[in-house]
Amino acid sequence: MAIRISTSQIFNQGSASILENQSKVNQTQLQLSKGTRILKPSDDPIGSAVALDLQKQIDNAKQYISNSERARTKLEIEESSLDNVTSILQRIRELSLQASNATLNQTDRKTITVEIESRFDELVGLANTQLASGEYLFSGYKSNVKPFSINGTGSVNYNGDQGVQLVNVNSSVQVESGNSGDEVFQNIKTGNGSFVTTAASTNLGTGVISAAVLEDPTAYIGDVYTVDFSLNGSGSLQYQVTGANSGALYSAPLPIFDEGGKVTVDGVSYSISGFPQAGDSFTVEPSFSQDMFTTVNQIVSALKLPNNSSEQQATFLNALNLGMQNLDQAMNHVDEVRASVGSRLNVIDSEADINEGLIVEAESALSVVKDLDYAEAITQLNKRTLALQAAQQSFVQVQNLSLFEFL
Amino acid sequence: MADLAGIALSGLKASRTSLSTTSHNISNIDTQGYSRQVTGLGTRLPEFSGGTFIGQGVDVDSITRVSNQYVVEQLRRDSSAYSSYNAYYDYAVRVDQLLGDDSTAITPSLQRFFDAFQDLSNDPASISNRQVLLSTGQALVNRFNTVYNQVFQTNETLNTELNSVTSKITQLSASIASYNQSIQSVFTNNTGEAPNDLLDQRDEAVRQLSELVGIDILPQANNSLSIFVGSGQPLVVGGTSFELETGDTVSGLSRDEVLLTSGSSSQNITSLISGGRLGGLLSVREELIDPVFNELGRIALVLSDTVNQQHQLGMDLDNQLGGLFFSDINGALAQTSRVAPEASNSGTVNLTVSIDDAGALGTESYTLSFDSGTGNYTLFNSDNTVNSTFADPGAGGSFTTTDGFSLNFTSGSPADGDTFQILPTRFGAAEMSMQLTSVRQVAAAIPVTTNLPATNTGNGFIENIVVDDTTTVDFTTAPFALSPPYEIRFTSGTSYDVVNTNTATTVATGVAFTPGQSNGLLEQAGLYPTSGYDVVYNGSPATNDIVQIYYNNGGVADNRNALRIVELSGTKTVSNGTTTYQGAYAQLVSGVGTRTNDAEVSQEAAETILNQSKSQWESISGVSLDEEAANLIRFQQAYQASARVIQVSGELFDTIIGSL
Repeated sequence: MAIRISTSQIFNQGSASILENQSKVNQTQLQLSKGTRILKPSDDPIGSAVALDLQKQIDNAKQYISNSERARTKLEIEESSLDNVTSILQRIRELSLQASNATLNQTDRKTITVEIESRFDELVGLANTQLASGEYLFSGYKSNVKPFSINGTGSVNYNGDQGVQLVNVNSSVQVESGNSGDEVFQNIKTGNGSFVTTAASTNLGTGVISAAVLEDPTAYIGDVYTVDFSLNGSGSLQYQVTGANSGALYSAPLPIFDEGGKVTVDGVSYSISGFPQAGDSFTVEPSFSQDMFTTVNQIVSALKLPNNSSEQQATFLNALNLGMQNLDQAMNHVDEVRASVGSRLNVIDSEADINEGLIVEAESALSVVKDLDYAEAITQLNKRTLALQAAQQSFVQVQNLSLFEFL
Repeated sequence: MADLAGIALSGLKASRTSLSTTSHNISNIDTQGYSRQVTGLGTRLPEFSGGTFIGQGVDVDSITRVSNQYVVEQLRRDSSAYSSYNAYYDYAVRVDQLLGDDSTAITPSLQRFFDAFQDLSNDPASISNRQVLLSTGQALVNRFNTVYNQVFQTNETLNTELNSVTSKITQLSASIASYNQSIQSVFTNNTGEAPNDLLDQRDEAVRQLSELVGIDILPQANNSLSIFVGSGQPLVVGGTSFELETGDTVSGLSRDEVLLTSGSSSQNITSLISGGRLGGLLSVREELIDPVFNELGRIALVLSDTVNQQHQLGMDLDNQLGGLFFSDINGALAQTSRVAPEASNSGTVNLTVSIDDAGALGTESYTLSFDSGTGNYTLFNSDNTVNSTFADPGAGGSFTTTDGFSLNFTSGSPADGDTFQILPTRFGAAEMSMQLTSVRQVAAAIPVTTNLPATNTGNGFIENIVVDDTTTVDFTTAPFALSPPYEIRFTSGTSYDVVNTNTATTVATGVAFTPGQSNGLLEQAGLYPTSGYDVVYNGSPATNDIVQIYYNNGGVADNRNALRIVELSGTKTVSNGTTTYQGAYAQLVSGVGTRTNDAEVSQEAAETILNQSKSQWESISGVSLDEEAANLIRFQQAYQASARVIQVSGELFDTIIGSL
């Protein structure tokens, strides 16, 4: 027996299926107009949590890229300042080399000195480089303080600190976005980086001491040595080496001076050329830190030494050599800092690339999760519109079917 | 031939009755709950005459409604289920949309806030960066407040609806009780003839009631229906009905409860209700709205607390120690708001809740009750399991839970049975506000800095500076200075002294240093953690090397504290270190999404089932116009035939008269 259908059932079902199809059409239409599959989290709870996470990754990566840009700007300014510092130091070196030529007269040396002095001012200016914001590039955390000032005696004071800003260029990678002035200009090892060899200013002979080299680290004890020359009973030039801590190293008879001969004490080797006189002394000590302004001042004051005799020439050369050794150290140091700036810029570039890649990946993943497949949605819309039309038409037809129509 | 006209008349009467039943059916085609009626006919007792039975015509035996009580009961139950899911979904989808929509969700603001901190870390001295940070902070706070308010509004709407649903339930119960009375008296007076239309009307009232709340129906011998809700609480017994109403039994919570009133006594039956719109409303509140308040509040609390703590360890643009960034999570008002006493409490105890460790907070609401017999308080979790039991600590005492908060009994004494709702996180998102007002107060720097003099010959380097407490005497004795100021002097590559540079006294001598490792210089000297900060040194220092430690005056470009705050966004600070702020929010969104989605699916399934039982009911009891049209013709023809019989009987009579 057929199932009995009541009249209100026919109407109710007809209108219910029209309403249902209408709401489906509406949902698809909304998806199409918003271009997204997930209109509210309940449409796809897991998908929407994943979408939140992906969006966070994208936003973070964008922020890291923006951080990288800021760090890059600062490092590029630093790099160009350091370029200028290097060329100034190079010029000073050229000038010093010219000045070391014995044929130069006082006037020539004076001209050179004047140029070096003006280069010195330029150097201080570079060390006080300011960013567009007015902050100083080389004053560490105290960026509102002018980092380098020339005091009354012509030497330069550092007013900043040793702070260095770190910048997040990726979730686990931080890059220093600068260097403190202390690190760039101040903290430079003297001599050849390991030892400083100096001649006493009172020396009368023409002895010139070479740079010292550490030949045997196991024998090294880190002492400060003084080399004193004297004459022995037979009138030969002999010398004694005295360690500040270890005391006199040789007992009589003392070694005889051998021009250019290598002397090795506690693993440290050096040689003395020319002819020292009895009473002359030289020191060999471990390097210490000195700022490059002092180094340039050293050269300037060496150039101002009298140069009228061969003895004075030796004193001048010893002083100039020391200054130039320190200058080389400064140039090497600036090169090192520049290299590190360069490698940081490389890190920033590669991290920015990684982040760009991550954004592309995450965005495509996000699109898979969230975005609407238009072709599918439009097909759906067509299907649903068709279903709606069918429901409407069948309703109209069925509701006309009443026996009363025929009575 | 005995009574041809009489038989025909009985036929006429039967047809007329059938026609009127048909017409009653047609007229009631749109009456809710109307069951079609049929006329029951029976032959009259035949007359025994001449050894045979002669039929005497037809009688109308009854007019009955076509109704199957099992189907009616099924329809009620399915209506109840559908309305319950429907109510759940109605509210869930609002919260769902609120949390998921970009223009209202927390996530984008949170992201912008920490992005602004990153921007600040790139240039900490920049006033415009600081300005942006303050406005994104304010926007974040606003977002928390707004989402809370939206959910609160939803909760208020729910309260209003609870109220209207309970008053409808009361009305329907009253009309069912009066139907009971009428039906009972009709049955008693009419020797068992069923009052079809009254029964239909009562069935319809019961069906409507079951849409509002899940009910149990017990038919009584006297044809009345007794109706119960919850776990057997009576709504209708015979001709008597009871009242359901709503009331705010806990102050300050805006969470109405359902009360069953009989006479002067009322009983809170909220937890017993299930099914129907009322059941759906109550469960969406418990499963979705309450947890959203709590989870949102927890994120706000953890965020405020962690950012505040780190910010207070920093130093601002004017060299001052950092202050509160967001409002203090343990402000006096906040502490009081977390306790909601039952209106029925008779004790005088005043209670506050302070948060000890926001990271340990859950998303529970708790209930605290006092038993004067044992003198103990018991703290119940939201699922009514015991969290902890403890002796009354008395006024001024407090109890620290393992869930990150403490109960502080500030004054008064409790009475037996006093009950308090303990809500550590519910208002967190509402109470969050911005505390920092000036751009210069953003503490991007840390207050400690170091200097390694150029005279150092070793290769030691500062690995890190730890600052974890700026309330120590080291920071608070003198402004803009560390007291005492320490200097580290290496006496060899493996040992150092710590010198107080103010008094030039050595405070620690010959402290061991391990080269090539992280050495907490003050910690190893026994000065940290008392100092509140430490300098971590690494590498290989040489004899006479010095580490100078200063207050970071003028360190405007120091971004270390900003970086530490940025780090918080990726740190698992929420829920005992299991998730981040954003992670917790994503969990909240997907949790609400899942529940809403479940409700939607269940609603659809319940609707299909409801439609089936409606069809079944319609199929049995519904009026079909086609059927009635056919009947109309049939009964009309029967009537015409009976009338024709009368005519024939008249003609027969005329024939006889005429032949005389």
